[in-house]
Amino acid sequence: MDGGRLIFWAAVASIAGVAVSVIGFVVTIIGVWRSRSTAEQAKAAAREARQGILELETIQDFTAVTTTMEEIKRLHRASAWAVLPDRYTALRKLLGAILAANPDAPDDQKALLVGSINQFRVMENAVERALADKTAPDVVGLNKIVSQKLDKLNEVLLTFRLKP
Amino acid sequence: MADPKFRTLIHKLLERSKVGKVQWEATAAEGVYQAAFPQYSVKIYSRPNPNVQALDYILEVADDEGQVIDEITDTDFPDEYNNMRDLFNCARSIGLGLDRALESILAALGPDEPPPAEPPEPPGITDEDVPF
Repeated sequence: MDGGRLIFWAAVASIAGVAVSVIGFVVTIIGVWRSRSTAEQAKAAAREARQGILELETIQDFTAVTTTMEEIKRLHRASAWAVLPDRYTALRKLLGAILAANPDAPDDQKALLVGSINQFRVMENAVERALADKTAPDVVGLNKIVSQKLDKLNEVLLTFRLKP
Repeated sequence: MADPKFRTLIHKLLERSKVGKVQWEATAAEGVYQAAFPQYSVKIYSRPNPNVQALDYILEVADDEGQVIDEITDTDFPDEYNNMRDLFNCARSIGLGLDRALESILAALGPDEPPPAEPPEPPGITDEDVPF
């Protein structure tokens, strides 16, 4: 092989090498972009799934809240004062769990939850005091407060159920 | 010593309550009214002061679990006594629904009627009216 031809093939090989490198680089970039995009999609899907689970748990907690509140009303009517403090505590825990799981909820909904927690703490104290003083708490007054809170919490529950 | 921010809190609560911007509600404890906010709540109530013939007013701030974080009485800010009394009365009125009841009754009674027109004054007697 003469020198001119050798130089020609060397140049072709060099150009081909550069081309292969460029193509390889582009392929690598596309691969990285695709994997990142896939990872982000997976992350977004996981986030959505987590949010969905949280919303489902919130709906379950709300349902437990309304059931407990109905039970509290029945226990008030039955004057079952000795078992009520535990029910108030359980209810406050459920309301606190809903509040903690929904930091982005609208302010009026958070205020409703905070107000309800506080109401049931005051109620618990009032019943404990009545038990200690051996007096009968005002059933009508207590159930009026429970019913008012129940109506408002049901409205919020509805907004969670109607979420797309 | 009470946090001076309480003074601002009293003023703001009173100002907002007067225009119906604070949702006070009655609680299971008689004479105790609460207003809830996204993370905290406040409670106000009165109790007789055994030393003087007047009521003491107490304002409590509670966290989102209902635990009282701090409280003040009007004795912490003696110059705020009237404001705390007004705030308590405002909270009571809203909490018991008295303000809504009054507004509803006043609306049912209808708008103010214009006052009846006064009868025209009799014309004054002049010298020309006298025949002699």
